[in-house]
Amino acid sequence: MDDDAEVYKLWKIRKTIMQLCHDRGYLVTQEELDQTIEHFKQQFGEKPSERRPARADLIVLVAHIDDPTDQMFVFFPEEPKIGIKTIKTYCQRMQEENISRAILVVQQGMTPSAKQALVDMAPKYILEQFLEAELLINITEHEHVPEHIVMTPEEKTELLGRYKLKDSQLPRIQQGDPVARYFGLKRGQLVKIVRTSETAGRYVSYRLVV
Amino acid sequence: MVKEQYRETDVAKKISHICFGLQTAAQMKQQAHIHVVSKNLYAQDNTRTPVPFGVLDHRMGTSEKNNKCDTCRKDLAECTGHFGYIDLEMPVFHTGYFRSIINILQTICKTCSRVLLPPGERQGYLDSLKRLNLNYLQRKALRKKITDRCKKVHNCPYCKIKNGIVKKCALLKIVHERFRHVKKNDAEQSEFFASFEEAIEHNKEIEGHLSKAQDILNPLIVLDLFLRIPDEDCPLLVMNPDSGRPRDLILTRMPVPPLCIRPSVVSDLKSGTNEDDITMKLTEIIFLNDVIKKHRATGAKVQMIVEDWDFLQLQCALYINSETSGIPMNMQPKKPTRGFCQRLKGKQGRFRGNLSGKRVDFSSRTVISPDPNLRIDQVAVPELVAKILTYPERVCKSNIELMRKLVINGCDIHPGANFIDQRDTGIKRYLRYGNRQKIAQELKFGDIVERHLMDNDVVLFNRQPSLHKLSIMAHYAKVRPHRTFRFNECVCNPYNADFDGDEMNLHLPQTEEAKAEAIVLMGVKANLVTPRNGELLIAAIQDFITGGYLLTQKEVFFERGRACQIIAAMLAEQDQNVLIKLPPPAIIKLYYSSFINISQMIACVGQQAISGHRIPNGFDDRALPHFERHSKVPAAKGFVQNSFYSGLTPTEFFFHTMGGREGLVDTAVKTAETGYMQRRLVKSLEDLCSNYDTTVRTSMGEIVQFVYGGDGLDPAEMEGHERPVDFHRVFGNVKAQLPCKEEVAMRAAGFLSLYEELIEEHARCQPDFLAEMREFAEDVGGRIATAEKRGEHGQKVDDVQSTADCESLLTYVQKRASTRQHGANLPFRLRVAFMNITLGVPRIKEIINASKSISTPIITATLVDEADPEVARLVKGRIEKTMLGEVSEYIEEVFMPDDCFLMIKLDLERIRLLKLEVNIDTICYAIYTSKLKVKPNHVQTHGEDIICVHPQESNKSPSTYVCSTIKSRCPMSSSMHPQESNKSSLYYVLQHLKVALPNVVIKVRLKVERVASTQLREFVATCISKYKRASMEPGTAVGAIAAQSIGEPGTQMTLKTFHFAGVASMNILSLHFFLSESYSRGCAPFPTLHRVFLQPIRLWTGKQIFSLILRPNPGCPVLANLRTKGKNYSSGEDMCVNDSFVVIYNSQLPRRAFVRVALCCVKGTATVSNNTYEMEKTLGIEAARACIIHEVQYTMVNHGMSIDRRHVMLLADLLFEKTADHLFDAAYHGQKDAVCGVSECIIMGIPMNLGTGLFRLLHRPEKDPEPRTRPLVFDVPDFHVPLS
Repeated sequence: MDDDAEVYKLWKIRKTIMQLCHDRGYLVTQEELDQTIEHFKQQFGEKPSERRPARADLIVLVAHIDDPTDQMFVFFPEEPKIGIKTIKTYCQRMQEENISRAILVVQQGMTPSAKQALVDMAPKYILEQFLEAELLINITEHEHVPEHIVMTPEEKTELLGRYKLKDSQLPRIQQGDPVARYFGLKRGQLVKIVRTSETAGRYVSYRLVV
Repeated sequence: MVKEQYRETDVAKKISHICFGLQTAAQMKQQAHIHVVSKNLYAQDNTRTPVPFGVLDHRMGTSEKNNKCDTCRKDLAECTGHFGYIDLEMPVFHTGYFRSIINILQTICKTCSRVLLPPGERQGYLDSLKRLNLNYLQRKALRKKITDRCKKVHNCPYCKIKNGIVKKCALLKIVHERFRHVKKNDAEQSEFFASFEEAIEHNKEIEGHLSKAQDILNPLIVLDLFLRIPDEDCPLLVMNPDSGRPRDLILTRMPVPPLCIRPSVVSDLKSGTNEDDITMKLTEIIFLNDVIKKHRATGAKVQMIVEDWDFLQLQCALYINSETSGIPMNMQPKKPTRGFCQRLKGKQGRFRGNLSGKRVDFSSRTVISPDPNLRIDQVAVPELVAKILTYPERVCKSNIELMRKLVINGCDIHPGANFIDQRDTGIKRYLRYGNRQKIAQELKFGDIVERHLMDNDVVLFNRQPSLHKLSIMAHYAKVRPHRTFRFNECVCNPYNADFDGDEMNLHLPQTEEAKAEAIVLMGVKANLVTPRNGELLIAAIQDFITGGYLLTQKEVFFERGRACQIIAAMLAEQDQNVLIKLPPPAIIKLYYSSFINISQMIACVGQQAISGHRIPNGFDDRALPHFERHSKVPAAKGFVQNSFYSGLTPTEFFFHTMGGREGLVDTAVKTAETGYMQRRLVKSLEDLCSNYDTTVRTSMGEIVQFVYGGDGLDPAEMEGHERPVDFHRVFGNVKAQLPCKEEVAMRAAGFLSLYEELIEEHARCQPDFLAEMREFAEDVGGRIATAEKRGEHGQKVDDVQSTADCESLLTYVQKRASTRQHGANLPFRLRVAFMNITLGVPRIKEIINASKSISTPIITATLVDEADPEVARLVKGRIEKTMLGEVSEYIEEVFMPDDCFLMIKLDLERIRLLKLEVNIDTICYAIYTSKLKVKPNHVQTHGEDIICVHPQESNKSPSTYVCSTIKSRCPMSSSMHPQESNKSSLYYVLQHLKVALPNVVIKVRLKVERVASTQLREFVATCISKYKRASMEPGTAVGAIAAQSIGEPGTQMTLKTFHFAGVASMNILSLHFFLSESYSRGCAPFPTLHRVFLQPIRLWTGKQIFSLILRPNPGCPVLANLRTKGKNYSSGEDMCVNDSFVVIYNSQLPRRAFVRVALCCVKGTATVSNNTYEMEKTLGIEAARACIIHEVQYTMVNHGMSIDRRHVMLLADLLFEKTADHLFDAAYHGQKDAVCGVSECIIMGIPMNLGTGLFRLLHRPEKDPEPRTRPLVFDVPDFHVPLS
């Protein structure tokens, strides 16, 4: 693939990542959200084949709006298929900087053992992985994907009370659902879905993450 | 007769749930009364006494009337039967659990019986299994996950012994390939091979086959393994230890069912009895048991015992499921039998035939015929039928005289009675015999007379297939002579009936409540509109429309007498005194016929296709010997050039028959397929019901939708297109009904403020409905304001546009025509190219099955530079502009001695044809608001088509200047007007106006509106009440209705394909696409991409936009990488279309590649696939839901079916909650079923949680209702007598 396309791709991916961080409630400047491709080229260079930018240059560190100590890394590994070794290095870095969350943007995939490693570290260090192809567009902007809003536990209790419901009686969304992964949802969380319906302007539904 | 009320409290015990489980050998013995050992049925003494301890022993109940049960001493009707048991000599696999047995074997170590999970992961799985709220499907998924994990463990983590692949190797045989994964020269394997040494010594040939040696896991070994599975491992097999353990999956003992379920039929003709298949199978099993026992006792060859054992295994399998496949030839049963599975499944099976399907009395069936003289809610019942169907009527003061008469008439004279049930004696008397006069005299209040069916009885009328709720409706009976059921042919549509010999069923409800409920809920008049999309279904058809058409032709004139006769014929019953005006012609378009039918008749029959391809070669290299070999010309491959009108040539006719036959076969196959599809739809959706809190829930209380359809409105009550109120219609209707001619019209400001005031009371309605209504009101307000600007206010409300609302027949016709038209003109972007057979039923099936690989995947990519809405609006504005010149017949100068003016004659006919909403007032308004400096008082109107414009002299210099030039150049004019010079300037103004007037824009939609406050009040009230009426009632079985609404048109679709028999595509216009298809194929070879289309979509503005359609190979999940550049694309892989360059190339793509379409020129956020599964994987469940809705709607619309979106939404919401139940699986998992679903309730015979069954007392008394249990004397240990 030529440089133009590669830069375009990297720009798109980084932009989606920024939006993702923003949507999860991390602090991202408006400037970064609106970054144009020219700006991107200025900042990082336009020859990925000559490692300008190298993927490692794209690394992102964001802090949560409500709690600045809650920080998250976004790593861009160089290898197309990452192994357990890469994971180890990232973990070390997280340990050093005392950060418990990270996102890996993988080019092609991960080895099974690396995936297992992610699971093993789960409660202490939360690492999520996305394929580059998945981030080429921001799926939440897709015209078929309605707005998803993550709800607080208090709101959830209120809803369950209002409809006299048990958890299991709510409509569900899988943890592995692309939108759920975008927001990094955990089991038991509730998302509010605001659909624009053709029969009724706006229709609110809810889904429980399972 | 009054129905007895259903009382839940009357029952001392209630079935709360049903547990499925495995029966242990011990339980079988406990439950049984005898141990069955004898293979003989009867004693050999011709008395037909059953052999004691045989399968017909009377201790298991009785199947004959004259014998009593030996266990309970009750007779045939009373005894419920008792079980026996057989002990099997050798254990056998239970055929129903065979799959589960293999699964368990794959999960456990074949040496130590532990579950093969590594100790580290074990706890994780145990934890996730302990979660309380796991549902059945989740548990099944977990089980699969564990099994898959265990399959990967090759060395048992506990005993370190090798485990290989376990699989089925022959009928009911399991093999364990222990050394599948080991390397050569493994120690264990060598040891295994060494065990064959002795055998090899005796038979050298074995050595060659040694490598193929495997372990066979016979039932004995498996039973041993299962017995050793530790209890703590049971949860990992996702079994419930309380309801069954692995060892129970293998049969060592079999229950013998009671005699009453396998009755022996005593035949009088030949000696002996006919025994049930089950009985025979049981004797065979006992016989084989005996043989094995004998062989074991005598020490026969192992080979023989194994042979017998195999046979026993097979017989036990056939006993349970007689349709076992793969039986070796020598063991094939001679004649087919019916096993237990066969007794349960299928339409005639226990579940569908007996438990959920109940038989009824008071029903009748005969041929139907039409009778237009009946009301639509009547049905003519033949007297013969009426004399047999009876209704139990209680005698009371008001009906005693009638009842006396009926009793006297007896059975044979029609309004009569068949039986009488006297209250004081309690005897039921048959009225054919006996002294009826006397009985009639003795009739008392409270007696019950079973009278004949009479006029105005409510009956249920039904025609199979009962595809939707309108297939059974309540009519009023009308007893008539002759032998057919007759009804008004307007009601043909819902039943889908015609009179070519169709038969229909009629049922007579037996209680007053049933009658009332039937006529209110199922009455014909309550079901005029189909809930599928709110269209009228009961309406004039066929001859009615022809008649209506003929009557309302423009050139048809009737004499006064004839017209009155026709009108009188239309008016019946309570309408008799209605004063009517003759309606204006109402029929605009008639005889809807598909374009294909018409074009086949008049233009060209088209390309014939067989399974989507041109006619294949039946001869050597050609389709028919009439053509050259290898000929590819259209005619040689089945193109029929002629139309049905011009006639087909012999070869064309032959090809057409080939194609036609496929259509016929398709119809036959697809009818069955859609029937099954509908059944599945109904079964999966039947539990859904709208609740009091507006949610839609399943019977378990799980929420499917928070508000039905997003707005809680009933699709059947929709007036507009999927909207509850058609404001324009209601407004017009209110204005016509309340002319208020004397009232002063409101001013715009007053109108809007009154509207606000009126609407405030109803603020609780849905905001979007109010917004919609406000929009309409503001529109009307705007029109009032326009009128005001023209200076007219304070005028009386006049009946300006008297849209005569013609009731009766003609309205129906019109409404039907308009809704149909409306449906056809929906702004769908038709992807015409693919309107082939893969839409329709197969597509719906795919969607419902959530197929992973669909047969015609399509992706639509929208280009960035498509329709700019601004541009579109501009074009729209331009199109809408109409000039005065276009609508006037002439514009003439008129010179009179004292005056001169321009006379404009409007072409009213043209205005009407163009459907311009203008009249003379609006045109005048347009003239003096234009830039022509004409003041209102200079414009006069005469009649409704003459406008006179008086030019006024202008002092402006240019005109003077021009005037003078004109004057100098044409002396004629000055001579004609020997007046002052300023008069000549007047002449110029006249000329100027003459040129300019035709270009005056008559603004369209400048409709004048005059509204009285009474009208507004009425309008708001009507809209609100309509909206409120349209909301979905709690308790409605929305699921069943949705399922029917989708399934029923599906069936219609199959019928439709028949009409298109033999034609490749539905649309002749699609030719263009075949061209572009071949074009793209010719110039760019795509390895993964099957086809790429550039699809032009013509917008309503006339602008054309393009979108790309990528069609991957069927089943290929990979899509293309796509971008646009215009230059520097590499050769060989590019494609250039028109002037926008689209470069498409293909690289090694990951699976979810279609998001990659996101590059440069393609809008990634608008790129969609029609593969639901792919959508879910890439964009999430919500997008997949939207995809399902779109695809179902799209498919339906393509076939001319419109379905309310709410039904499709409900389906899409539920589709991801698939359930698959199976008795054996349920038993394996120890599944519990709290009896609350609709089917379950029908089986149990209890009211279901739908409709009126939803309503119940929710209050719970606070005090504990459980009575205190007193300790029994026996419970006190002090009183116990010690056992010594």
